[in-house]
Amino acid sequence: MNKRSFPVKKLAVLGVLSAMCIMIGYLESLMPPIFPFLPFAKLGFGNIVVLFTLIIYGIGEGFLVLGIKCLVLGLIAGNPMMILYSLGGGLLSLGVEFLLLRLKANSIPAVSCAGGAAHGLGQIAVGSAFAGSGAPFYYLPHLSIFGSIAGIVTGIIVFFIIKKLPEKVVYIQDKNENNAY
Amino acid sequence: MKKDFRYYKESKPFRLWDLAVVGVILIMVVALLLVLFLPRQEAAGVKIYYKGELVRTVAFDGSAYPVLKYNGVTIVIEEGKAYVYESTCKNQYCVKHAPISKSGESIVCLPNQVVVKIYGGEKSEVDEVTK
Repeated sequence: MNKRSFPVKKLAVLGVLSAMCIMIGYLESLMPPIFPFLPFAKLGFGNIVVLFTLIIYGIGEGFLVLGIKCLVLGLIAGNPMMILYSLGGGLLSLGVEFLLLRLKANSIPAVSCAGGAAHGLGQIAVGSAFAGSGAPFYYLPHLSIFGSIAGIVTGIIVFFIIKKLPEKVVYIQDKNENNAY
Repeated sequence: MKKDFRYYKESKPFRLWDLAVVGVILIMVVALLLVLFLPRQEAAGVKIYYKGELVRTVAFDGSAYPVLKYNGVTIVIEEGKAYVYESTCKNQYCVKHAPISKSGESIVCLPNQVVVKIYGGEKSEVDEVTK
């Protein structure tokens, strides 16, 4: 049986990515809401880091960064309930993005756009479950439109980061695999 | 994943299939908008839900409106509109929310499990008649 190793560099890189994610999310939570009728709409620049991790390292690592982000941000910036909403939205958008990336038919901004729309859906679904009514779904159209626009913006940023970033920065040598990241 | 990174490093910012993704999202949003907002009537009053159950209905009838308080959420009702004046919740999204005035609109305070919703009615028809 092959023992899977976890390279130290990967640990360090994922730690730095998580920290970046938390910092961006925290700064964003300090800013006032952009639209008064959508008080919880944020641009979600933290998702730049999540999408980047998902593309470069894969679904497991993306989930790790997302989980750490939601957990820590929920504890320092919001209430513990917020952890569940952002996890619900984040997981759904991560799943949609993963599937679209696997299909390899779309560009990064479009993948991110779909992820942004899915994020709203996940959040509202968790919110409805807790409110015990379908009322939160009235936010969904605005939230999805805003989410997809924000997703396109973050997707374009991720696109340029990946385009400009030298390969050796993200490359991680794995003993078990010949060309692992 | 190495192949993936190379692949996306050389990918284009826009591909034809992106139109399909944007199209699907647009169709879903439009369908949702139609389902949620098309049967919009004249705002007839305010309904307040706590833990998913209707606890209070206030009609817009020109009388003095009460200031209501449910589970730490203070709701102010005025002629044709309603808003959350203050709330004990931490995120304060419901307080920052703009006043609601159209049928179907709602303010949701998830931490306190309170929903304020405008309901529609036949008020406009009555007005037409009395004119």
